[in-house]
Amino acid sequence: MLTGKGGTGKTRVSAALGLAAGETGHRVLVAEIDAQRSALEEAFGHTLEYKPKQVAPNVWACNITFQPAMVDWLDRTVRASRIVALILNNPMVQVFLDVTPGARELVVLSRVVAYLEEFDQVIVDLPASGHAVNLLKIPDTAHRLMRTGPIHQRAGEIVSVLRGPDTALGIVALPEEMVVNETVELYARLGEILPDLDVPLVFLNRCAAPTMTDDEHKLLARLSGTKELGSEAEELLLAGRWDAELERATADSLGRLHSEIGVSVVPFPRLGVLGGFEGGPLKVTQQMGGALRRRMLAEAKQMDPS
Amino acid sequence: MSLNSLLEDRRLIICVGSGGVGKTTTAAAIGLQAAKQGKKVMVLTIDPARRLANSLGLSQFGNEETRIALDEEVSGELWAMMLDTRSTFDSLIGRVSPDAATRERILSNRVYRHVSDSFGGSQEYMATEQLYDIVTSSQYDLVVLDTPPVKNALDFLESPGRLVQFLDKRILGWFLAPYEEKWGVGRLFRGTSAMVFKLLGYIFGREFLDELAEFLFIFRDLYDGFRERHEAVIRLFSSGSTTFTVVCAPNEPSVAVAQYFLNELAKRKMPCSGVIVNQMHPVLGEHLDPNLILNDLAQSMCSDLDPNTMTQLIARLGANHRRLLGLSQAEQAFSDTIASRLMENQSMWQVPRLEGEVHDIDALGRVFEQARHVAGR
Repeated sequence: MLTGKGGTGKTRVSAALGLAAGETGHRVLVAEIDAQRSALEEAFGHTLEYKPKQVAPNVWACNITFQPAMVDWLDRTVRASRIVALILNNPMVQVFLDVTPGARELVVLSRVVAYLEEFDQVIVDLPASGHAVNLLKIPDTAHRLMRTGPIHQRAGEIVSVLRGPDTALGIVALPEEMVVNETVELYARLGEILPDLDVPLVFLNRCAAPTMTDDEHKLLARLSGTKELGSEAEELLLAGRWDAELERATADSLGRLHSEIGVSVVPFPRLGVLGGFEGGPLKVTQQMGGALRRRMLAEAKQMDPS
Repeated sequence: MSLNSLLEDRRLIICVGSGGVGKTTTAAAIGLQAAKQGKKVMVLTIDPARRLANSLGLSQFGNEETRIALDEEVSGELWAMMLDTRSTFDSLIGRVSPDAATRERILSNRVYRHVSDSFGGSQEYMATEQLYDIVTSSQYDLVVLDTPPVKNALDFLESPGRLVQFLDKRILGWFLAPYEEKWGVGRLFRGTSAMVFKLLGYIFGREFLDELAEFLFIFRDLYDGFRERHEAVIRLFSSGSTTFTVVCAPNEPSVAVAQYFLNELAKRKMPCSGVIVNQMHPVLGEHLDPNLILNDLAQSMCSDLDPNTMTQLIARLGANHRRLLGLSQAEQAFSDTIASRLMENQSMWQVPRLEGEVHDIDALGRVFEQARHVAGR
């Protein structure tokens, strides 16, 4: 599962992780949760729907929306199709399910867990931080609130999966102070509500590795301090300062994530032009997926040098 | 027209947009500007995350009204607060309960406890409740609201409807019929309804249905009160003194979300004053050669530096600038896309990306001052 502050690129990291996982030969599903507007479509360059659609070798993607997930859920739970039809056609039940707090979220999460039977790995693009926390609390609450019946049981199963050794959550962040603040807060919050959930990684998106020398910094500062520069010179120096600032912010963020959370950080370099992706959005996803795959191979090699 | 026109005659400004586009900063900047005009302003955030505090240069604040220290020459006041679901829900129950015993029964009902603090949707509903109270209390001349990112922002618009729908008499009547029968007040319950009810009992567990029934039984007389309040909230949202402002960044996903908001607000007949495009990279728009422009100056400054420094930096600045130029062209195209979709009476403003991050009052002031009206009315 991936979450993080809005705008950090969780969806694209989810998609890239899907591509990298697919290359290992596993059957992988990348799923969005109840998205009113699918963001995964753009990352994969495919239109998506409820039913998983193959987007790359070994990789499928889907948007798990509530209505069809509800039908699936009833099919699994009640089994008799006549009764399912009876429930679904009853307008009162529709309203009841619509408004019963948590029902929507539980049905969607249940579908995610069900996909673990069909796929080797499921990658979930969760909503942004605060809302992901609320979503992940729901199965436990429902498990305690509904004390018997299939929902009680299903909620219990979802809780076990969330707490289990095969589940992990990654946080996507950017090298910006506020985003790092929120990442640190989110990590602490997750530790409070789901202490057994493994949170091993932070993906730091759009990094600039520090390549400027101290002398370059000095010269840039001297040039910037010059009075009455022309507007062209000002603009060049502005561009330089922005990049220098990004290098500094990247180093700061990496340092803070290591010292304040202590998890591994996977940095992604900036690719193409923000907003206008060179070679199209799918190309960016593929480049990021490639970087992840190379890292996975390097780590595997480190663990087993033979 | 400056961004000031957004403030005229407004009592409530609601900022909507996708995450990471500076929505919170924009809300805080609008609030600060209004305070500078002598108004008493409250900036509210619904977001569970604490970004507003960051933007205001505070380490954190909670669900108490907190006054932000401003320069002495500012005649108005700037306040901030984070909406708190649980205590708002409790005080709402206090307000609508006919007596202390009813209040206690609701507060100790397990369904209520879970609904009020952990289930999705209730947070947004409670936010509108609290918002309504703050706006109508007339304590503030202006309230600026920062909403959560897209996927939940529409819940916030719909949420009064969700809870009220739950309390609709037809549904309550249907759901409570078997209980009223049991408690000797209802009619007989049979046929399809009885069957469906049995199934719900099987699916959700009878204990849950029983507790839910008790919760609803207590709530059933409150429907009219909730409905009136919901209607009042909708009236407040659609009135002339309220405006929605869409905030976006000049990139594809954010522009798509902004477009979505413009359409949704129009569909719901909510007043929307336009779009603020944040984080624009300001450039001259042409290719620049750093060798020609900076060589002589740099030459005179690097006698004490490593001999390669000048060449390296000049080459770097060239690359940095090409990147910036490409970026700003892409951004302008996104900005133009939004401008072409504006409706009559809507405006678009651009706010340049500032050097460094915005987390003090001075930087916040610059955000507003640099906003430029670029399209529309």
